Order: sequence, then C-alpha cells, then structure tokens
Amino acid sequence: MSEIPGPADQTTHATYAEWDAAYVLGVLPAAERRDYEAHLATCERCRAAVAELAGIPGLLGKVPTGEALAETDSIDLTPAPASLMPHLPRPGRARRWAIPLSAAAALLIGAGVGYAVRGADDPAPVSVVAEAGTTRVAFSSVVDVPITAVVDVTPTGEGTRMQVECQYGGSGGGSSTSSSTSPSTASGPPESEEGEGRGYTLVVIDRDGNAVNAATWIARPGRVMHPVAESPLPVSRIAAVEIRGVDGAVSLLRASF
Amino acid sequence: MAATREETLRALHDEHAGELWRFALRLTRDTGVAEDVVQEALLRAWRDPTMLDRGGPGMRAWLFTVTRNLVVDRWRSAAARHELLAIETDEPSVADRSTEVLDRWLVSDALRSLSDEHRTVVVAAYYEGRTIADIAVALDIPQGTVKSRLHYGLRTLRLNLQERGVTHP
Repeated sequence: MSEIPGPADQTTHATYAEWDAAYVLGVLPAAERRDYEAHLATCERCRAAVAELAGIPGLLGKVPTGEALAETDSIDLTPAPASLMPHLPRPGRARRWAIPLSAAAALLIGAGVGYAVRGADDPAPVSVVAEAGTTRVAFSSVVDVPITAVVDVTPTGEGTRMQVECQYGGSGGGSSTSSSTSPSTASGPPESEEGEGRGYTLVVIDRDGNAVNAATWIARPGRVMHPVAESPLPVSRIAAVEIRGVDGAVSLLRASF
Repeated sequence: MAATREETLRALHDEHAGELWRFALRLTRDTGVAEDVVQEALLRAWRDPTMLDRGGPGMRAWLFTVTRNLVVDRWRSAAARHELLAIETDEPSVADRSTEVLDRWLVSDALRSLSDEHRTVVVAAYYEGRTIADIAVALDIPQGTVKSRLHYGLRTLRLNLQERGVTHP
C-alpha cells in the first residue's frame, strides 16, 4: 500500500476526495491514514478540504456524549405557536412594545427579586405592585433612534430606584452604532445622529410635569448599558421617564407609568 | 408590483418562524421567551433597510444570528444584573459561561438538524469512537459509503453551524 506519491491527478484525487471528514475525526485506519497523508502532501484541494473541517471536532467536543446520542428531545414534540408575527409599528403612531423579562434572566437573578411584567400600554398602575416588587416597563421611541430600552422600577422606602437596560442598534446597526445584536453583514445606512461616544440623560417626569435629570451616561458601542438612577419621588408620583440627549432637551424614548 | 415590506416579512415568518422558534426554545428552554425572541428577530428584519435586498439563504442566516445574539444579550444582561446585586466575587464572568452554554446548544442543535443518515455516522465515529469498519458492519454498508457519509455529514454540519453564527475556531 505504500506507493510513492505521484502528482495528484484526477484519478488519485477521486480516490481520496471524500476522506477528509474521516481523517479529521481520526477514524481512518493507520494504513489509510498514511496513504491519505501522502496524498495530502501533493493535493491542494484535499489540504483545503481538511482545513475547512479542522475546527469541527473541537466544536463537537462541546456537546456531551449523552446529549449527542439522544435522538430527539421534548422540544421536537412541542408545537410551535400558530403565529410569531410581530406587531409592526404603524406610521403615525408611537412605537410601543414591551419586552418581557426572560425566564433565564429571572433564574440567574435568583429568588427574592420578583418581576412583574407589563407592557407600556397596560392600564394597570405600578402602585398595585407589592412593596418589594420590581416592575419592568419598556421604552417607546419618540423619534426614530436605533435604541431599545427597558426600565426596572423598584420602590425603595420613600423613593424609587430605576435600573435601565439600554441597547443600541435596533434596526440592524449602522457602523457608528455597531450593535452587538446584529450580524456584521447587516450594516444598514448609518444612523450617526446617535453614534458612539454620545451621552444620554435619564429624565424623571413627575405627575405635575416637572422634569428632573436623574442619571447621565455615555453610550459605548456594542454594549448593553445599565444606568441606575434613584428618585426621591415615590413610584405613584412618577408619570414617566425619558431617555434624552446629553443636554436633556431632546426626548428620544419614553416609558409612561 | 413589488412585495411590500410587510408581505416580505410575512413570507419570512411563514418560511422560518417555526424553525427559529425551535432553535430559540432549545437555547432558552422557555416557550414564552422563545416566542419573544423570534418576534423581536422578525421585527428587526422588518426594520432592517437591507431586508428586501438580501436573498432567501442570506436572510435565513441573518435571522439565526440575530436570534442567537438576542438570547446571548439576555443572558449577558441577566448576568450583569446579577453582578449588580451580588457582592463582588472572583468567579469567572457569568457572561463568559453563558457563551459556553450557548455554543454547546448551538452545536447540539446543528447536529440534530442533520439527516438521520448523516447524524448516525458522525455520532458513531466521534462520540462512540467506533471504527469505520465497525460502522460499516453495523449499518451493512461499504466502508467507502461510511467515509462518504462522514464527508457530506460534516460539511452539512459546518454549514448548519455557520447559519447559527458559530464560525470559530
């Protein structure tokens, strides 16, 4: 079997063309492995084929054997919802959508912090939430900005604690916003007005319409930001919070309570 | 008459939503969250100005990647909130671990989406450590066919992984 490797002509290549996977998985018998390696030394195409698959065993190694051997799991039997179409924003109407907290997140946060989830449109007042409860409210876009954000509102004695989770690049992410959520191939037209290094302000608006700056932060591209603010006002006195430009003048997103 | 953005999105939904949902459900193990993530991925597709230009296969890969990243972002922000609440520890970042967990799910999912014929030989060769001769006898096929199925199976797996945004190492 140990013939001297000659130039890789079509016939020789055809013999080995489908051996790449067996080789990278390490299942070729020793003699065949030697033959294949001798062929590789002369065949550009087979070397390229092996290189393409070289990372696969490492990735397969991430899956435990038991999981790989199980042919199906319960997920294959779980029926999908009849429709998963999102509600599309209508022209002339403020965009509003709620982002329910994931169960995985609740799990990681651990016991003791209960989240009540409601959409910004729900009429239920925040004050019905239990004293220690945290309510999540989604921000709606006031102007067209590539930002999505939610605020977790927690009563703290007399006042209110607000933890904002703010993410850039809601529409595919231009180069200036470089969202971590959109694939790199998705660069749309630049939306540079909210580009990197911009500062933002969280403004609390009370029921009398007074606006107070509660926090400012600088956006870092590709990162989810978590500004935190405390207001001396009880939740019941807060009408809304807004994310504004750094000067506090231009309202970008609003969460109504 | 060109299709409207909404019609295009509806077509994307009808073609991919079920598969994306199963994918998201594997990652999150929560039907509600999976639903949420897929709806948001579709909403982002609708908002993406290049949606209409992207071809079918490109859009599919794009949706998988967005869905995957939405799940990662949720894990990361959950981890960040966790770190906010906890006293500082020397533990490795929860976000890093969540990426490990995600990779495992993505590979597992890619493996499951192979045909039975391909998955059987890949699993036997890699996970069960069986030889080509052994697999050939067990399946009553020539050894050359085992090699051929491994070849096509691993190439399909590679494409499945790329579609799910796994491109390393």
